[in-house]
Amino acid sequence: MSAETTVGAAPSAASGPEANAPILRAEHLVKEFAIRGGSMMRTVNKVQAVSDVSFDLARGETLGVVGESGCGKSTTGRMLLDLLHPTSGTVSFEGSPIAELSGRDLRRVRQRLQIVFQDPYSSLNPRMTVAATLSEPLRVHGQWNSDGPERIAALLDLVGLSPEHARRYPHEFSGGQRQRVGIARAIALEPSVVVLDEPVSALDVSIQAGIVNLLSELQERLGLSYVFIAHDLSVVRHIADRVAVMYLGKIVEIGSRDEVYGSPSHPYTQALLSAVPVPDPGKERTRRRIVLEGDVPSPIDPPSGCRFRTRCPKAEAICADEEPALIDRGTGHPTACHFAEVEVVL
Amino acid sequence: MTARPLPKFTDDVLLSVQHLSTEFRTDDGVVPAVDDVTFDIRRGEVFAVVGESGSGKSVTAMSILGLVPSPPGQITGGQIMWKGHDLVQASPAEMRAIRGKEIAMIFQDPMSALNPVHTIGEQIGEVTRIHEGLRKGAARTRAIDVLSMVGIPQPERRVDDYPHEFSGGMRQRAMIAMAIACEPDLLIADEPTTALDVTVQAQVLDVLLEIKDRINSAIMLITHDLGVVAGTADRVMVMYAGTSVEFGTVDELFYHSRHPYTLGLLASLPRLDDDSRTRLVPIPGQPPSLLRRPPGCPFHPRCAYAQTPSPCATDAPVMRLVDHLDHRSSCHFAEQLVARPEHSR
Repeated sequence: MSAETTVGAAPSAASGPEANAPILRAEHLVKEFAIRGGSMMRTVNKVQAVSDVSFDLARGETLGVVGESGCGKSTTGRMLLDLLHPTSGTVSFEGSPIAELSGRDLRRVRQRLQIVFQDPYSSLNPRMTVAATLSEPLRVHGQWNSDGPERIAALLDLVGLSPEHARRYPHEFSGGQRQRVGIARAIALEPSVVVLDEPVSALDVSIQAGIVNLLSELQERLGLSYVFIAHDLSVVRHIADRVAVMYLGKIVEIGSRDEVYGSPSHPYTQALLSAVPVPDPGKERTRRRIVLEGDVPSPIDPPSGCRFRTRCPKAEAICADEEPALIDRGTGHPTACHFAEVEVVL
Repeated sequence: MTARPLPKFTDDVLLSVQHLSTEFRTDDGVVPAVDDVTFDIRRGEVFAVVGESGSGKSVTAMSILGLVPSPPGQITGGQIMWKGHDLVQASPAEMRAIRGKEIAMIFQDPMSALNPVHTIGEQIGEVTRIHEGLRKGAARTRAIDVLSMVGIPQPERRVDDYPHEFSGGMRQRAMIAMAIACEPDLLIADEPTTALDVTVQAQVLDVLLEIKDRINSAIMLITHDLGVVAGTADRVMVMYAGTSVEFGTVDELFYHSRHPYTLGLLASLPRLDDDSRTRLVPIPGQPPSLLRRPPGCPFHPRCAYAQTPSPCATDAPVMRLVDHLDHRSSCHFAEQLVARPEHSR
C-alpha cells in the first residue's frame, strides 16, 4: 500500500507474528451519494463525500480524523463499520475485506468493530432501560445467559456508572451519563476497534474531560484501537497517536500527533491550527492567525486539481491542473500539497 | 491578521445591570434562571459572558432586550440602566424603539433567525425602514453598504439572494449586517460562531471586532468557548447556575482566577498548544437543576475547595471585590485560592 501507512505507528498492544499488521485498513475508499430532484426524484447529480481515502489503524492506537463539516470524516467512519457501503475501495479487518464476509464471519467482525455516536440524546432508545440497551447487543450475538445481569453491572462499573442505573431510562440521565451508556453499549461485546464519531462535542465543557479520560482508561484496560472523529483539534491532540486531516473528501495530511501539530506541512492544516483559539489571552494577542478566504466549496463540483486551491494562499497554476498525491515531500510525513513545507503555527 | 492590541478601557458605561433576577414559572416550580446578577458594559469593549448550558447567560441577554417570554418568564428584580432609563420599566413600544436601533442582537443559528421567504436585502432593509424611516431604495442601498462592511463579495448582487443561497458563514455575516444596519451602541452576540467551522469562525470574529471599532459600539459576547473569550474579550463574567460567580479583566480571569469554577473549567480543557498527555481534570458531578439548586454556594457540591464545616453549604456567597482592577468573585474563600500549577501553563 501507499507510503502513508507506515508513519508513526503506535506501540502495539498485542504481540506475536501479526502484532505489526494493522488491525483495520482502509484502501481507496470512495463514497458517492445521489442527488435526486425533479418530479420523478431521478438522480440528477452525484456528490462524492469521500474521494480515495486510505489509512491503517495499528493495534492499540488512536487515529484522530479531523476536518470541518462536510469534509467526509463521519462518512468515512461509517464505511469502516460498513454502516454505509463504499462506492469503491475496501475496508479490511485483520486482513479480511469486510465486504466479502457473510454469515458467521461477518457477525464475528461486527462484534469486534463498534461505534459511539455524537448525540447521546438521539442514539439511545428512550423506551429502553439502560439494562435493555446494554443487553441487546449480547442477545443479538447470542451471548446472553444467566450471568448477563452481572455483565451489565460490570459494564456500568467500567464506564463509571453504578449498578442501580441499569433500571433507569435515558431521560433520567445527564448528557455525560448518557454518553457513558453509549460507550458501555459499544464495549459490551468486547470489541477490538471502536469508531468514536464526535463523542464529546455535544457535551458541556466541564463534562467533556471526564469522558475523554474514560476513553483513555478503557483503551489502556481493554487494549482498544480507536478511530476518533472530531472537529475539535484540541481534544484530538490530547487523545490521538496519529492524525489524519481531511478537506472536501480527501486526506490532505497524515502523520503522528507531533508531526501534524508540531510540524504541519499542508497549508490547510496550518490555517486550521492557527484558527483554533487557545484559552490564553497573552498567546492569543501575539499569535499569527492565517485567515482563509471564503467558505469550503461545494463537494458537488469540487475544484480541479487540488481541492484546497481556491482558498490556498500558496496556490499556483499547477494546483489547478494536477492533483497533489499524498506522499512525503521531505517534511517527514505524507502531505498532499505541491508546495508542502513545514510551518510551525502553535 | 495583525496581533490584537492590548485591551483599552473607557469609563463610558453604556449599560448597567444591577441585581437582575429573572424567573420562569413552570409546572414543576419556579426556575431562578438569573439570580441577582450585576455588571456593566462600557463603550468600545468586548464583554464576554461565559457559562455552560443552563447557566443563565442567554436569559440575561433576553432580559436586557425585553424578550423574556411572559408568561412563564418574568423579571422579578433589579434594574437595567440604559442611557438614564430603566429598561425593566420600559413599555413595549419603548423597547421596540430601542431594539434593533440602539441594542441589536446576533443569534447563534442564522438559518432559523433569517426568514426564508424574504431576500437578505429585504430583511436588512426592514430594520432601517422601521427605525429610520428609509424608503425602499435607500434601505436597499444601506443593505448593500452593510453587506460589503461584513465582507460579503459582490454585495450589489447578493443583496437579492434568499438565505438558502448563502453558505453558513455568509448567513452569519448577513445576521451581523442586519444587526449593525442602524449602528447600534451595543451588539449582543449569543454564541455567534458556535454553529460555524473554525476557519469561518475566525473570519466572523474578525468582522465583528472590526465593525465594533468602526461604529464605536460595545459587544456583549455570550459563549461557552474559553478560547474565543481569550482571543476577543476585554472583560469577562463567568456564570454558574443562574448566578455570576466571577468577574474581571480577561487576564485576571485566565491568569489569576479567584473562583474554583473558573479554575475548574480551565483545568478541564484539553489545549491545542499543549503537547503533554497529562490527564485532564474534570469537574466532578453535574451542573445542578435550577429547580433544585443547592443551598449556599450553588457550586459547592462539585467544588474541590469547599470546606466542611463551612459556610459553603449554608451561606449564599456575595460577589465582592478580591483584587484591584475590578476583579470580583463570589467564593467564600476567594482570597485563599491559589491556582494549581496546571492553571498557569
